[in-house]
Amino acid sequence: MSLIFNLAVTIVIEFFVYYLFIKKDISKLFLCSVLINSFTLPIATYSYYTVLDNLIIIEILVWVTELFLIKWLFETNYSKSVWMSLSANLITYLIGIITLYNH
Amino acid sequence: MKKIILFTMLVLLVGMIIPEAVHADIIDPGKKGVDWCYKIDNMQDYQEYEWGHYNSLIGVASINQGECFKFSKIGKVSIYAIKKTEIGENQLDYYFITQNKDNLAMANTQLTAYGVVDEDDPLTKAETTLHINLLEGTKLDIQKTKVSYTYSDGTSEEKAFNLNGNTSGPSRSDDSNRSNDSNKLYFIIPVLAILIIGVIFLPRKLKK
Repeated sequence: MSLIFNLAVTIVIEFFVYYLFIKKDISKLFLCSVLINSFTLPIATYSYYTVLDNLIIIEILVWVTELFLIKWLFETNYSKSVWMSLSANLITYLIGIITLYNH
Repeated sequence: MKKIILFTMLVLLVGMIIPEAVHADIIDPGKKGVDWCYKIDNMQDYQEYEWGHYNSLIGVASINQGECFKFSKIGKVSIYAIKKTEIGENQLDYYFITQNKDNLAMANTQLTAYGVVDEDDPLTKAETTLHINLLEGTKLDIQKTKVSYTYSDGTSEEKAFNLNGNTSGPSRSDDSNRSNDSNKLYFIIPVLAILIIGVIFLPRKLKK
């Protein structure tokens, strides 16, 4: 169940980050956050446990994957999608660190 | 906005230099790693050989007699042996290994890293013992013989491997928690997500 919990938290956080950049069509923003994170987070988590225990590399791969998905789904330019993806993943990373220290 | 991004980047950089921070957002908080390693119990019978483990993605590393070794999770790992006379004055590095594959005895068994367990799982260590059955020329037959599990209360137990290289796993651990078993959700959710992305968004893109 922790996968579902982590996914739900990430979806909500990244939705708010997307909203900071694109302040319209909230339902589409949320749907895209659900779809993007449902694609990347389980694969990233599974990869960390079984293939590559280097979180930094995995985060970079997630960032790159998400920037293309954001570019495609939100029809933004590359510059904006790079920043959207970067800030969304930085914030979830930061929350992950805080969560870790509270456990 | 730029200030927010710069701030979060700064926090990330600080997080990167704190070792514990590598268990960040994608790590399930309720999981922990197990201290695992492999050792070969009869390396002393093959003193004329140099031993190591080879990973096509990461490189090579030496295995010393009596050492319990471990390796990166990435890629597939095989043990190799090469006669010391073949090495001569050369450095036993990745380049040398790849250039001298014909002289290498590469083990038939591939090794994998141990997965993670629940945080409250009593398992703390898994030490797998390997035995060299045969080393002739470039033929190297290594078999997993037993694994020693150590628990948080200091007790331990040994489990033997069967001929297929399988063991029943630690008695006091829920083996289903191991990542190697993989939860189907880790595959189902991304597949569904990408299908939905395709179904919803692809027709719109094609219309344009």
